[in-house]
Amino acid sequence: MTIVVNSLRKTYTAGATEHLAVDGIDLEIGPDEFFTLVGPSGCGKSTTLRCIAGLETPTSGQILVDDEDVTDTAPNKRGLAMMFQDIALYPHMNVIDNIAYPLKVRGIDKEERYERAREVADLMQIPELLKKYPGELSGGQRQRTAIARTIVYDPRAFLMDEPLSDLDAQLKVEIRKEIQRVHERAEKPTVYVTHDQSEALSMSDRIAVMNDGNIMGVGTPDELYEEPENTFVAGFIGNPSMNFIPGTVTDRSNGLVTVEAYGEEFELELTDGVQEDDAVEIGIRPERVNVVSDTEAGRFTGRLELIERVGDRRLATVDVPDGEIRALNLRERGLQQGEDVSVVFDTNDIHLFDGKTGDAIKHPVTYSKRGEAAQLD
Amino acid sequence: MSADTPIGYWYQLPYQTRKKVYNWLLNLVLAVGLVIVLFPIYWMLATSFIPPEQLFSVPNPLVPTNATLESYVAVLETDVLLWYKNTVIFAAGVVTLTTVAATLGGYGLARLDIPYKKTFARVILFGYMFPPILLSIPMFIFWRQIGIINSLPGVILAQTATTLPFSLWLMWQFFQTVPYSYEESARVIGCSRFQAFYEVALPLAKPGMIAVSIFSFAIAWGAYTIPTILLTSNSKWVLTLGLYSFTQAESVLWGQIMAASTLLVLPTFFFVYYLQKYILRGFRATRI
Repeated sequence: MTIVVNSLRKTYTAGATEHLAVDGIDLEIGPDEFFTLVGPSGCGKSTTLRCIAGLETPTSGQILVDDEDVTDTAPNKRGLAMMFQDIALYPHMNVIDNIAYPLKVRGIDKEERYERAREVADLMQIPELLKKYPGELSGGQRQRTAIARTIVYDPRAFLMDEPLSDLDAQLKVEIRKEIQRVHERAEKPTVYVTHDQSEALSMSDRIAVMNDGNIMGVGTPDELYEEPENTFVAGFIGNPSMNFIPGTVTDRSNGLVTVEAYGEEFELELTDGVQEDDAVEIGIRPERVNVVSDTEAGRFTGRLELIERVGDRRLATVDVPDGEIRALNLRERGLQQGEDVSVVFDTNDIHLFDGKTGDAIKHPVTYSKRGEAAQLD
Repeated sequence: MSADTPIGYWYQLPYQTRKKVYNWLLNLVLAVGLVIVLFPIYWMLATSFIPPEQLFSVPNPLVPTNATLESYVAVLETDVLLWYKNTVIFAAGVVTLTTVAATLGGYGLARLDIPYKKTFARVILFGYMFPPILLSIPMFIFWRQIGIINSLPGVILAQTATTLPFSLWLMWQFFQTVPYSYEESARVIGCSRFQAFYEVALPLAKPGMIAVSIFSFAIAWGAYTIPTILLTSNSKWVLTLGLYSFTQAESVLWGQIMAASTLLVLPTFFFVYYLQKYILRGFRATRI
C-alpha cells in the first residue's frame, strides 16, 4: 500500500483573485509508513491531505493509491479513512452506531457490524461506552471512538487532519500513543497533518515540512533536525528554534573558510560552496549554546534579557546587535537577568546557510556520529 | 450607595429579597401579556357556548350561565366538515411541499458551489415581501390558463409560493450551522453524496425543518386571500372561507362564527404542542 502525489497543484478562486494553496508538490508515502505534513497555518498541508482524501479536487496533478490513479475518484470510492480536527462523530447516533456506520454504508447486516464494532471498541478500550451519545463523552473518549470508527472497515490508508489539536497536553500524549499503536497494528500508510513540530518529530517515520504551498524539506526526524536543507526547515524544526546569525565570508584557503559575524571570526572546515564576500547565515541550535557571566569567555557579548524555565532546563535569551540568541545549554548557576554575559558555543556545532537562498552549505558532523544523543525536543 | 434615594434603598436590600421581587415583577409582566393574548381566545370560546338570544345582552355574560351547543349544531349543519377536510389537505400539502423544497434548496444553497448564491439567497427574501393579494391576481389568470383553478393542488401550489421564500432562507441559514466535516467524514467513510445528506445532514437539520413546518402550517391554516381568489366553488372551500359565509347580508351569526373559529383554532394547538418537544429534542441533538 503506497500513496504517491505527483506535482499536485491547487488554487482557489475567491472573486477575481486566485489563491495558490499548493504549488506543485511531489510526495511518496511508502507502505506502513507514518508520514507527517508539518508547517505553519496556511502552508497547504491540510489542502494536500484533503486532495488525497478526495474532498478537494486538485487543479492539476495526480494522486495514486496503490498505483491506482484516484485523482478523479469520489472520496467514498477511495477506501481511505480520515480523522478530522473536530472529530465529526455523528451527534444523533450512539457510539456503537457511530463505529458501525462505515459498515452499514457497505451493506453489512446489523449483527455482523455490531459484532465488529464491539471488537474495535474493545481494542480502543471503550466497550462500556457503546450506548452513549457523543455529547456525553469526554474529549479522550470521543477521540477513541473516532479512531475506532476509522479502523473498523480496514481502510487502505489513514489520513489525519490535526486530530489532537483540541486536546490538553496530557490527553495529547495518551491519544498520540493510541494512534501509533493503531498504525503499527494496521500496517497501512498514515498521513498525518499537524502544525506542531514536536508532535511530528515524536510520531513520524518521515516528515515533510511545508511552507507557502511548497515542500521545504523531507526526511526522517533525525535528518530534519541534524541536517536541515534550508533555513526554513532549520528554524521550524526544533524548539526553541535555531539561532541565526548573519555573517560574511572573509577568507577561503586550505580547506578552511573564515566567516565573520559581529566582528567575530569563525573558521570552518569547508572546501567549496562559498566565495569570498558571500553573505551567509550561521545557524546554531539553542541546545548547543551556553551563556557565562564572564564577558571575555564567549563569542558574543550581550545583555541577558530573559531567563525562563523550559521543562527541566533553563532558557536564556541574550540581546545581541542584530537580534537575540537563545541558549538552552546553561551550565552556570546564579545568572541574573539584566547582566552582561557572553555566549559560548563550539564552532563544530555550526550550520552554515547561504545568505540569499537560505539553502544549507554545511552541517556539523551529526550528533549521532559523534556519539552524542541528538537533543530532540 | 446611601439609602436616601429609592435606588439606594433598593440596593441595600438583601440579594435574595431583590431576586424574589425581581421574579415577581417578571411574572407580573408575563401575566399581563398572557391575559392580553388569551382573553380573546377565551371570549371566543365562551361566546360559542352562549345561546344566541343572550349574545347582545348588556352587560355581556363573559361566563356562559346556561351553556348550549346550539351554535355548534348550527355550524355542523353546514358544509363545515367538508371545509375542515379541505383545510387539512390544504395545510398538509403546503407544509409538505414547503418543507421538502426548503430543505433541499437550503442544502443546495449552503453546500454547492453556485455562482452568486449569496446574492440569490438574499434576493429570495424579496418574494416574501409581496402581499398575497398582489400575487394572487396574476396567479388567478395564470392558474386559469393552465387549468388548476378551483382545485386544492392549485391553491396548495399558490400558497407555497408565499411560504417558501422565508423557509428557504431559514434552511439555508440552518444548514450553515451544521458543520460540513460531518458530511465530509461520511463521504470518506463510503457514503454517496445523497447518503451523506440524507443520513447525516438531514437528522441534524431536523429542528430547522420543524421550524419551517410550523411556520408554513401557521400561514396555510390561516390563509384567506389566496384561497378566496383561487377557490370559487364552496365545495372546495377551506375553513377560513366557510367562516366568512356566516356573515349574511343583514346579520352576522356571531355564535356560529365563534363556534367555527373554535374548531379552526383547536388543531393548531395540537400541532404546535406535538412538535414543540421535537424542537427541544432537535436542539439537544445538534449540541455535541
